[in-house]
Amino acid sequence: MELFSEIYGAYFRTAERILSKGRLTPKEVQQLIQEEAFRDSMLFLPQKLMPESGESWELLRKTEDGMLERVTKHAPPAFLTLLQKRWLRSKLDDPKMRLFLTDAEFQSLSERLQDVQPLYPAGVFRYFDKFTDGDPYESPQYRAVFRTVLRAIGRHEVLAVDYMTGKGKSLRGHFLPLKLEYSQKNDKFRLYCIRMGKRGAGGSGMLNLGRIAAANPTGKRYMEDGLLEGVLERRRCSEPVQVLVSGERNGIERFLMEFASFEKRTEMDEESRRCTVWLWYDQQDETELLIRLLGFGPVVEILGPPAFRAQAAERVERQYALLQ
Amino acid sequence: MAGFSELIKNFDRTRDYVREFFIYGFKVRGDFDRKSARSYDDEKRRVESWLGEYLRYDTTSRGKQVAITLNSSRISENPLYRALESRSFTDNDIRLHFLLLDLLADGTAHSVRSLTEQLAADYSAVFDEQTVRGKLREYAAEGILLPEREGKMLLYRLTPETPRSLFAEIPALAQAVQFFSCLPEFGFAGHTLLRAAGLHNSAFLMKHLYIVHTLESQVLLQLTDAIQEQRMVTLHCFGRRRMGHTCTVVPLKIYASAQTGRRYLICYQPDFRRVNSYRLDYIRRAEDAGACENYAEYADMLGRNAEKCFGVSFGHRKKGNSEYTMRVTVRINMEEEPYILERLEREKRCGHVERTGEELYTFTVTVFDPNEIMNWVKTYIGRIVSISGSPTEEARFRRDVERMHRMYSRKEEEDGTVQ
Repeated sequence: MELFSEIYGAYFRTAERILSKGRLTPKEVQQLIQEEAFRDSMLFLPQKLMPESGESWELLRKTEDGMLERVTKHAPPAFLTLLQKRWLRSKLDDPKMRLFLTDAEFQSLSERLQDVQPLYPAGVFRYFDKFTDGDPYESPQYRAVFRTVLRAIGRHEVLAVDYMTGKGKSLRGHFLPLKLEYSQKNDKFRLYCIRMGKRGAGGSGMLNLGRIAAANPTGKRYMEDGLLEGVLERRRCSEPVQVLVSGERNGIERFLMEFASFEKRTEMDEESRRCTVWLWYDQQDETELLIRLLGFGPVVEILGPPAFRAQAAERVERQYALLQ
Repeated sequence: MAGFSELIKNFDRTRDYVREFFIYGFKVRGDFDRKSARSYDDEKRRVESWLGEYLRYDTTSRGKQVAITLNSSRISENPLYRALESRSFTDNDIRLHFLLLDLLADGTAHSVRSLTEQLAADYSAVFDEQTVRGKLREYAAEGILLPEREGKMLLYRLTPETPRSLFAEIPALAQAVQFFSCLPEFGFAGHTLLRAAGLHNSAFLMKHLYIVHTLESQVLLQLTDAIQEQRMVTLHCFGRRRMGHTCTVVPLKIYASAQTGRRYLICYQPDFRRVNSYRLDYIRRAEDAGACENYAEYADMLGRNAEKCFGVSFGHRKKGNSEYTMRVTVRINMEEEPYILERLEREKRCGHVERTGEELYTFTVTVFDPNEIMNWVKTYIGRIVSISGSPTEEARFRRDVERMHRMYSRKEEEDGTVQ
């Protein structure tokens, strides 16, 4: 059983889509290559697919009217592989699976996969620094909210939400859910959404799913292009943080690995063996970023922006005073 | 570019290059000195073809550097899955795939001989029986075909299960697969399911996600198989200190950090008679080394050691099983910043937190390796009143703070930039 296998590859998938069409034009073949394969596949795939090319796989033949048709009798049949079934079986052991499936659906899938060996043993993965106050996946109320929100995202439906803020204040309003964000570190779901007023879309927001007391569909739908992109863009920092990372204590490798999930630019100074890094971040995460950078100690120096550096300097100054 | 192919047979070298472009991003052509210039050009071209939209080129004094850069919390599909979709194959592989499946699409069972004859009769595709048998066996191992016996004859039938039928039966499952396909525990398998059903993730974004883990999927599968079957493996490692290092171990668990992006194989190492850890991204490949007779004993050993392990360090071999009880006291004004105590509580792992004075809270933990807690401790800089339990760590912390104080006290230029 292979993970890195041609049956899951882009070329096989492209050929499958082409053969499923039955008859098509050479231009349609090219279009499907562009949709399914890699950027440069147009240089390699057409000669494999076109008949009479010398390199042809002979899966298509030319008809008298200039069209292409498959040599096979049927559209390629679909199949579920053992890898996919074993992966699904493993996911049954994850408590988050119950957020999606009702008891009956969970039971049905469990029975269907009862003879399938899991892809990996339950509990084999341990996230040792995952926060302990994750969302309550076992809670029936949480599951109900999760499903309502997920359905509303697909339907672009506005929800009436009762919410408890981080400071313990109750909030009630109409929100258009856009996407759910999951953090493995926090083990929590958060909801990107737009607050809806009488005149339509208002400000954007982020709701912790675990703090939603109730979410009820309103029956009102709202669609507008670029809503999520707008929210993400507004949250992006206006200026990246610039840091200088030294090679001491394997700092460069540790730093770049830890911040691999960030949009970044790096530049190495060969002489000093120090690396300058520019990191773009979500403004809401500024404090989290600051403390993570301070965690590297003197291996990382925050160079800018000045206000960000000043926050680090202020904490270091306080710490220095505490040790005197 | 004669001989260049977008597809690859072996993932190892590609894994190296994608990692270098993704993690470092500052390396220029000359830095890839272990490989030939031709292989650099070929690998770079492949990465450009798979991930072009995420590549960034910068010209520096050292030359042109190539980086894969993206904010992984803003993408709905892991682009590194493209690299796993690039396995090469022969012309016969793809012809046999579509022609055999066409013959088997009727849902009935066929023998090797009848399929070989039908290939020639229906498509003028002449293959010897051995080649056809090999492909059928391969597809039976992948679960695509179901082998069955009729007397002495082995027949093959196409599996009736399809992703679409599964999602039609349990519609909510499609959303679950969208979600789980984004996670690092073999999410690629979920991605193949979505693709087979013509679906995409449209509802989820992932924060703090290290998509670079995708590159370790194949090695990880070998290791989790070994854990599941309680077998030993021989690891072939590379990396900073383990260039060409080989060792035989008993794999027990996979430990991962949600904060630093590192993942480790936790194993029992018979050579050292102790539990040890190896970074997954430094393991090039794992080979089966036979069944392990005492697996339960080693798993118990890990269970006993795990509670004194803040991360993945089970102590230093030469120091034996030394333990350190570390105490870190921080100042918290509960009126104004109760969230700091909440943070301590949720991040304490195997330690505990207690109030030890007015505005003072002490975190206590007993660990094999006190150095392992220090990065986390330093995230509380500005409120650490004392550290005790390891004179070495205490002295180093003091030196670090003094160095940082000098670093941040430097006079800044009028425009606010640091020189």
